[in-house]
Amino acid sequence: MSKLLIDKDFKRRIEEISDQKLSDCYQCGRCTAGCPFANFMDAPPNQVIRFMQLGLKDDVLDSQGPWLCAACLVCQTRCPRGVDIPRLMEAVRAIHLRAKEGLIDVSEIDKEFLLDAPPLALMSAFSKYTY
Amino acid sequence: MKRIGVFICHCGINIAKTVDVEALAKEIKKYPGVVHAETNKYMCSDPGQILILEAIKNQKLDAVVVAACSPTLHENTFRNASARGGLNRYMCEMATIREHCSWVHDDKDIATKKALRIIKSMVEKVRYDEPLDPILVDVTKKALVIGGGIAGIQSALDIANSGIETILVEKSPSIGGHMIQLSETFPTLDCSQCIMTPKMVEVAQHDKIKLLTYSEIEEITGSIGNFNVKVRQKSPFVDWVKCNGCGECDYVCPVTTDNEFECGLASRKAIYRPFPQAVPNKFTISKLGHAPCRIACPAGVNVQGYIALISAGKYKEALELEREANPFASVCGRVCNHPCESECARGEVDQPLAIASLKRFIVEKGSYPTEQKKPNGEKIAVVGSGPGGLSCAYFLAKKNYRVTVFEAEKVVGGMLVLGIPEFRLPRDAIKDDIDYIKSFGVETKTGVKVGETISINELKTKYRAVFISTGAYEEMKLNVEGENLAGVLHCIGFLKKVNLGDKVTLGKNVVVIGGGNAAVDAARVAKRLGSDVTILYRRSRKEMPANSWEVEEAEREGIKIEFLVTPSKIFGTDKVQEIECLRMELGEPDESGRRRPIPVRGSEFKIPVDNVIVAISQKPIIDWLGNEFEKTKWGTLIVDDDTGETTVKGVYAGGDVVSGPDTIIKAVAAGKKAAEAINASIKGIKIARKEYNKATPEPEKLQQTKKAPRAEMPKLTTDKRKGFDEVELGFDEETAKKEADRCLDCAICCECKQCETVCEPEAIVHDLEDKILNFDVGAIVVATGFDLYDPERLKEYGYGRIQDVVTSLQFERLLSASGPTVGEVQRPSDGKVPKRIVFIQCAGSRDKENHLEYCSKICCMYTAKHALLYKHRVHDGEPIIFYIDVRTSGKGYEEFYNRVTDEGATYIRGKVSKVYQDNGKIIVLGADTLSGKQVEVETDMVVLATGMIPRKSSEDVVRILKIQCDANAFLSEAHPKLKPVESQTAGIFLAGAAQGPKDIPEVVAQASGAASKAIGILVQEKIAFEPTVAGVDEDLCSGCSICVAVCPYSARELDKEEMVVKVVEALCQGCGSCSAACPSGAAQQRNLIDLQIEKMVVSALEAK
Amino acid sequence: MRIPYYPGCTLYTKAKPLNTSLHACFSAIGIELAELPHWYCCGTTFTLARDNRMSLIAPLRILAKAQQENGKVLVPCSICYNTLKRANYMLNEDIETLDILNEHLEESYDGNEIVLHPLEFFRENEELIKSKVKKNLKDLKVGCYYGCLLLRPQQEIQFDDAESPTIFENFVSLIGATPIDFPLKVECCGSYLVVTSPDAALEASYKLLRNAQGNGVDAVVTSCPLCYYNLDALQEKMAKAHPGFKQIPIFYFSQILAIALGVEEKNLGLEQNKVSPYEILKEYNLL
Repeated sequence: MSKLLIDKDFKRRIEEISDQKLSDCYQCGRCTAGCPFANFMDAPPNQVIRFMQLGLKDDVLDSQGPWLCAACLVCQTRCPRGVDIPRLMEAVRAIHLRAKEGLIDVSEIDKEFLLDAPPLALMSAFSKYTY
Repeated sequence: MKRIGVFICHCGINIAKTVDVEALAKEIKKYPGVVHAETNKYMCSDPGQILILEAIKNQKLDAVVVAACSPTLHENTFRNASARGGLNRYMCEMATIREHCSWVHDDKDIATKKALRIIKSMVEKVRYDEPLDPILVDVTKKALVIGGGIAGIQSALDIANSGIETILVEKSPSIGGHMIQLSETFPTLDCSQCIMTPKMVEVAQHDKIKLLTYSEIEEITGSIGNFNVKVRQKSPFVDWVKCNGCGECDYVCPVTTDNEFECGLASRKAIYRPFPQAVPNKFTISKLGHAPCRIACPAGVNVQGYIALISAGKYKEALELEREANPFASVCGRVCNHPCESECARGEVDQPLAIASLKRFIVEKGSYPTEQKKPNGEKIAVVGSGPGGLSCAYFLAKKNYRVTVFEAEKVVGGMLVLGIPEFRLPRDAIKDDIDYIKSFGVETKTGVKVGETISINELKTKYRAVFISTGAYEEMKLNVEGENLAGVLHCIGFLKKVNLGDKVTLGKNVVVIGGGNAAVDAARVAKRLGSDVTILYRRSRKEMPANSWEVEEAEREGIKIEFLVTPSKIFGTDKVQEIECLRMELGEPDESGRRRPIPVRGSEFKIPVDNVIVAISQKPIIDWLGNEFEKTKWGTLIVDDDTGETTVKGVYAGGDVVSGPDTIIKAVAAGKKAAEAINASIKGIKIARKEYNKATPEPEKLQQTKKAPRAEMPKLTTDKRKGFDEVELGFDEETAKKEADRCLDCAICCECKQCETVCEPEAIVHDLEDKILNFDVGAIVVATGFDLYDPERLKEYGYGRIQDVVTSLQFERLLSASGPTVGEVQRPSDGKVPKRIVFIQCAGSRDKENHLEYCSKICCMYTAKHALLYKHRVHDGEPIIFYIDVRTSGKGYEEFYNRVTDEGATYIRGKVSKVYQDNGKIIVLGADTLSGKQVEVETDMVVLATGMIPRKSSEDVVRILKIQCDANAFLSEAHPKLKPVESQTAGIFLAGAAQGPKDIPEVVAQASGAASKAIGILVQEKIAFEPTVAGVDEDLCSGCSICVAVCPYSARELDKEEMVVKVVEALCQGCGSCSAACPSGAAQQRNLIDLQIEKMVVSALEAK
Repeated sequence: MRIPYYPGCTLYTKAKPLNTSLHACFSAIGIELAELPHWYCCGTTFTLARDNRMSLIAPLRILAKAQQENGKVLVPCSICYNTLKRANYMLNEDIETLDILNEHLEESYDGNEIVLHPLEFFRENEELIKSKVKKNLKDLKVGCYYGCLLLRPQQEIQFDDAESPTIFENFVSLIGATPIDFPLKVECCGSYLVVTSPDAALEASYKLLRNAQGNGVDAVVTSCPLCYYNLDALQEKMAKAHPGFKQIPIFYFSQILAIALGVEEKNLGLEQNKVSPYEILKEYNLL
C-alpha cells in the first residue's frame, strides 16, 4: 500500500493556470457522463480531476484524458458546480508543453492527410499538442 | 445616581478568547455609577444568573448590564433573572460583545477596548432607563391556518382539538395538497390515500374548523393576539350549498383541459372536482374570462361555446347558443367578415379556426324551433328589414314585445337580398334566418315606405318605440366627366336589379371602379353575366377594404384587378366607349390611416369599355326624417353610443344609417343594443356596461400545441361558376368536428351552460362573484407547501420534448391505484409497460451553478420507493437509479434502501449528462464514477427526481404577512435550532415544506409543533406586549402627522379634535421610525429617548 | 450597405465554398461584404490557460483592425467566431490584460467591437432575406448542426440557448426549408482530434450523423469548416467501419441560402463536397 502524499505545489500550479478551484468539484461524474471522448480515455475527466484533488501529479501527467479533450465544453456547460473542466485539461497540456513534451511531431503527420485537412484543423491541433 | 452592576460573560471561549474579560471588569468598575462588575464563564447558566440575583440584593443595584451575546438570544433570560432579583425587568440591558466584537476581531487588545466602549454605552442607556410595565391586550381565541396540505390539516386538527376555533384557508378547491397525490409512502409503504382521506374528512366534519377552500388571503393586519384577516373566497361558479357532487355536469361539459391533479397525464372537464375523494366534495368551474373571439364579435356571439358544442356533437345546442346573440346564423355563417377569426389565439400556433364556416355547418345540421309563444306586450315599430332592423325586432320579440317591421321594398332582408349576390348568399339561406325571426311573432309589412305611406310621427304615437335601420342606399358619384353616359351603372342599383331578377345586359368589356366588397360582388356578377371584367382601385392591394378571401375568389374567376389606378374621364358619344385613367402612387397616410393615393402626372391611359360600374360607396337616405333628428356631416344619424337612441326621444337607430356602409354583424349588434335599450327604457332598468377579461392561453400552451392546418372550405371549381350557384359548399361533419377540435378553449369554461341543464339542485351560477370575508384571529400557522422544480428548465433531460420523461410526481400518479392508469405502470407515449426505467436523482437539486444549490432531501427516499413499487408492479422490470449520494437519514430509511437494493434496483453513482432520443429509443448518457466508466443506457422511460421549491403562491402570503424568507424563498424560522416553527413575526408559525424540504413525518411533527405554539398563545386571556413603544409628548406634538406617514405598522393616528397624534400601543413595534422623523421631538420611544441615544453615542465614541 | 468581413484562413483554402456562396448570398440581398484589409489568423482555438496572454494578441489585433471599420465584424467560420468572441469577452472582463496588451502593441483596442455571425445577421434581417427568396426549398428536410463553438460557453458567446438552440432552425424555416430537430445537434463532432485521434473524431461524427438520419433528415447543414470536414470527408471511413451506414450530403448554411436565393450553380461551391449533394438537390428540383 502506498501512502497518500498530496503534491500541493502541483495542485496550486493546476489551479493557477486554469483559474479553477479544485475543491469545487464534488465528483458527481457528469463531465464523464457527457464527454464524447470519455470512452477513449484511460482515465475519464472526473478521475483526472480526482487525481488533481489528491495532488497525484504522476497520475495526472501520465493520463491520456487531457490529450483527448477537444474543448467542446459540454462538461463545462452542464457542470453543477461551475467547474470549467476544459481549463483544467488545458492546464495539464500546458504543463507538458511548457516542459517541451508535445503529443505529436508535425513531421510525422501523414502527408496525404496534411493536404486534405482544412488548415484550421491542423492549426488547432498544433496549438493544443505541440510546443 | 443609579447603582449599576455589570456582568461580563466569557461565553466559553467565544468571548474570552478575544476579549480580556477580567481587564474589562476591572476597567468598567471605574466608570461612573458602576458599583459592581464581575465575570462568569456562562452568564446564561444557572450559576451565572444567580450572580445577578445576589448582586442585586447585596449591592442594592438599581440597574443591570449583561455584556454577553445578543438580546435576540438572551435578553429575556437576563431580564427574567433581574426580575427574580426584585428589579423591574426593563432595568436590565445587554451589551453585545460577542457578535459585535469578539467574533469579528482577532486582535485581543483592540477587541477589549471596543468591548469596553460597547459596555459603557449600555451603562449610559440603563442609567436613564425607567421601570416599565408590559402592555396587556385581550387575545382573540381563534386560529388561522393557511394551506390545506398535510401540514395545514395537521395543525388545524391539533388546534381545533384543543377546543379553539380554527379557520383553514386553502387556495385550491380541495384540501389534500401533494400528499393526496402520492401512491404509497416510504418507508412503510402506507397507502397515502388511506391515511390521508380520513384526516381530510375529519377536517370537514370538525365543529371547530371552518374550512375555506378555493380561497386566498388578501390582507392581514394587526399583530399577535389580534390579527385581522381578509380572505377572498373565489367564485367556483357553483353554489356549494346546493351542489351535491353528483357529477352529472361533468358528463355534459364539452370542454376538456389539463388535469392538475394528474399532473397533466389526464384531462378533466371545465367543470370539475379535483379528484373523487375531494374535500369538500363539490364542483368548480375553471373560468378565465371571455375568449378573444367572443370579445371580438360585435354582437358578442359566444363563439367558443358553440365551437365546443360542435366538438361534442351537440349541433342543435350550438345553434341555440349562437342565436342567443345573433339570429342571422345562416347569413353570418356565409358572408360575415368574421373579426373573431383575426383574434383567434389559434392563429398564433398555425391558423385561426374557420369560425364562420363552422357556424354555417351548425345551421345546416341544426333543427329549427317551429312554434314560439306569440308575444303580447307593448308595440314597437322597426323601419327597415335589413339585418339591423330584424335583429332589433328579434330581440324585442323574445322579450314579449309585439314588433312590426316596415319595409319599403317588396321583399324583406334589406341589403342581404338586394346587395349580396346569390352565389355568395343563396336566398334560401337568408330565408332560414328570417323565418326563424318571424317564428317569434315578428310581423313584417312590405311595400310600406315610412315617410310616404306612413309618417314617422304617426309611428311615434302608435308605437311605444321606433327603431330606424334603413341602411345606406344613396350611391356616391365619381364626379368625372361622362358619368351620366348610358352604360355607366352604379353598383347597388346594378346588384339590386340582378338580385330581384330583372333583366340586365352588359357589354363585353366591363370596368368596375372601387375596392370594397360591393365592387367585388358587382365584378363577379358581371363576370357571370358573360363580360370580361376589370376592377380599378386607386390604392394598392394592402389597402383594399374588400375581404381578402373574396378578392382571391374574384381573381380565381378571371377578374383582373388594376391597382393604383383612378378614372379621370369617361368618353362616348351616346354610350360609354372609353375610360381615361391615371396612375397613382401612395403618399402619407390620411385620416383613415391608409396611405393617400396621389395621381402621377402625365400617366393618363385609356381603356375601351362597354360598361362602367361605379362602386365607390354609399350613404344613407334620411331626408324623410325631420330636422329634429340631428345628423353628421357625412349624412348619417347621430345616436347615443350606449343606447342607440337618436336625438328624438323614443326613436332609436342603428346599422348603416348610423355608421355608413358597414358589416352585417355590426348591424346585428346595433339592433341588439337598441333592443336592450328600448326594453330597459320601458321597464325602467339601467343597463350596466360590462367589461370582460380577455382570456388567452399561456405562451407555453401555445408552444406545446401541435400544428394542425385549418380546414379548407370546399368550393365550386371555377369552370362550374357560370351561373349563380353558391361557390362555397360547406363542411361535412367530419371536417367540422376536426376543425372545432382545433379550438384552444381560451377561457376554459365556454359558458355553453350545458351543465345548467342537467344540474338537478340548480347549483350552477355562471355569474357568481367572489366573496370577501373578514375575521379576527389570535395566531396564524403558515403551511403553504411546495412545488416541484420546473423540469423544463433541465433542458438536457428532454422533459417536454420526450413524452416518456416524467417527473417524480407524475410517476406517483402512474403508480397510484386512483391514477390515470389505475396503478398499472404505463408509459405516457404509447401506454406500454416499461421494461426498464432510469431514475435520475438530483434533477435540479445540488446544482448551484444552474439550478438549486440545496439538497431537496426527500428525493433519495422517494426514488428508492419508486424503484421498489415499480419492481412490485412489473416483476421483470429493471429500475436503474443514477445518484450522486444516497441520503437515508431517517428512522427505518437505510433499512428501506437496503430492501430496495436487495430487490434488484441497480444504483449507479454518477450524474446524468443528457437524455435524448435516437432511432426511437431513449438514451441516457451517464457515468459510473465508481468504476470510472461512461455508461450509455437504453431505456423505455425516465423519471426525474425533481427538487422541491417553495410553492409559487407562497410569495403572496409572504408579502401579505410581512414574514421573512431565506435565499431560496423558503420561509425563515426565528432560530434555526431553537425556534424552528416560529416565524420571525410573533404569533405567526410555520409548518411543512414551506419552511424547507422535508418528508411527511417531519412535516407532521412540525405542524403539531406549530399548532402547540399557536395554542400556547390562544389559551391566554391577555397577551403582554413589550412596553418599549413610542409615545407622544402631547405638549410638544403639533399634529403635523409626519410620524403617521412613516409608521410601517399603522400604529399612529392623528386625533383631529385635539390635533395631536395618538399611539395604538398594541400595534407599535418600537422600530423608532417616528422618533427619527418627528421634527419637534414629541415622538419618543420609551427607554430609548433622544437623551439616551446621545449619551450612548458620546460614550461609545469616548467623546467629551 | 456594407459590412466589415473577416473570412479567416480556411475560407481561402479548404472552405472556399463557404466563402464564395456567402459572397453570392450577400450580393443577392444587396449588401457588400467588405473584407478587412491585412487580416491574419485568429490563432485558431481560444486559449484556456489563464496565464497565456500571448495567444490573445492575434484576436486583439484583428478586433482593433475591425474597429476602424464600423463597430461590427461578420465572421462566418465557427472557430474564428468563437476565438474572437471569447477573446473579446475576456479582454472586457480582464482590463489589466487589455491594458498590458495595448501598451505593447501598435494597435489600440477599447473592447467595443461586436463580433457577428452571419446567422445572427440573418436573424436581425429576417424580412430582407424573406423578400429575396426565389426558390422553394419546402420539402428539403434539413438537420441543423450547431456543434460546440457557436454555443459554448453560453455566457460568453450569447448566440443562443446552449442546450436547445433554435436560431439555425429559424433560419432554415425563414428560407423555406423544413428544419428537423435532432438531439445531438449540440454535441461535438470530434474537432481537431481528427489530427491526433482520428478514431475518436470518426465515432463522434458518426454518432451524430446517425442521430440526424434517424430523425429523417435529407441533409445536414453547418457553419464550421472543421465540422464540415469531419462530417463530410470522414463518411467514407464511417461506411467502412459501420456497414449499413448511408452517406448523407453536408452543406454550409450559406450554400442552402444561396440555393434559395437563386444563386448560379457555379457560385455554390458544391463540387468540393465529398458526399455528392447533387442527387438530393435534383430530387427536389433545386438545381
